[in-house]
Amino acid sequence: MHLYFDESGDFGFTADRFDAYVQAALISPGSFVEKISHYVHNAKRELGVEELHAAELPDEKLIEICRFLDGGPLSLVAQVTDTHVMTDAQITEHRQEQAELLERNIEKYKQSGGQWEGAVVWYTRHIKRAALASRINNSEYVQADLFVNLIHAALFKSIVRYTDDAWRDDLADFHFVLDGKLPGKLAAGEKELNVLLVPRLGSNDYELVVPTNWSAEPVHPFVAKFGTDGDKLSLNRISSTGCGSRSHTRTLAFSSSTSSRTWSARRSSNPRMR
Amino acid sequence: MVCKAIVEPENEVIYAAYSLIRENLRTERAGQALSLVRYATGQDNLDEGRYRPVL
Repeated sequence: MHLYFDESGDFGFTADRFDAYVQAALISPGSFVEKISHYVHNAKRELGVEELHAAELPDEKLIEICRFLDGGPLSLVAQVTDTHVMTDAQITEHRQEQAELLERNIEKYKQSGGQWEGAVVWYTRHIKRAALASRINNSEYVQADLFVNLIHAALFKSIVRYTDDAWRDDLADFHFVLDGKLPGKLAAGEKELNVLLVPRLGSNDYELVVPTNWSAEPVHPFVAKFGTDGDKLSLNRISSTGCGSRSHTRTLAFSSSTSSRTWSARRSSNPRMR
Repeated sequence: MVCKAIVEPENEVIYAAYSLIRENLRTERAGQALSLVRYATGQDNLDEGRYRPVL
């Protein structure tokens, strides 16, 4: 399964006008990726552009693109925020609250006898990340923060949308592709996303569900590959492999830490967002 | 595309394009096409008039 992620807007939360910021994912079975590449290649050639950016294309062309998106076995997920419901000052306030929460958590850890130095290093890093805009500005912080929510939603939809047996083989591999902000290196927000993604997805806020009959013989390829003993899901096993032809493409690494989550019959919501 | 549909609610061509993918955006049959996200400390209520056509 190939999951493509991108965002629209600069997430600048300007105070002088209404603006909306969207993050979206396109989910495609591996067997359909070549058709997407073919369609994109032809559309770019026809329009004489390097990339297909909705903001720069004629409105009429968007109808044709949306018809293509709706015509195949593709799935879409999108989330939005805007300058009415979130301001730059509130993001700063939220970051301070997060830093304070992390401070309390590391103190509890120490008081309960925790001695692993790695935990202190991890907390210290992320307290500074949350508190210091000089490390990562509000725009990049909020994009990385919200992206975790979107990636979970896309993973969830990848499972529930393709439960039919016809998609069994497509669910054996996952490819996550982001359009990078900088050529040749990770932007500050991308670095944070890379480090935080697995721990966040493994937290109580996010759960994934698979049909119970996927564990029955013949075991579904998804369960066979990503399941662990005790009905756990190993995010580390959802590997990242590059694909696509965009010059700044990023692939997400799910191998930076160990995290697993009990499969559940329901999907939890993230209480920090609504 | 989605952003255009939100920012340009009067644009009929954009609305027609968005209408083609709106059902696909839903994860659950009765769910919303878009997830509206903000921090719990967020300020104003959502502009329902703006979002009603795209949800």
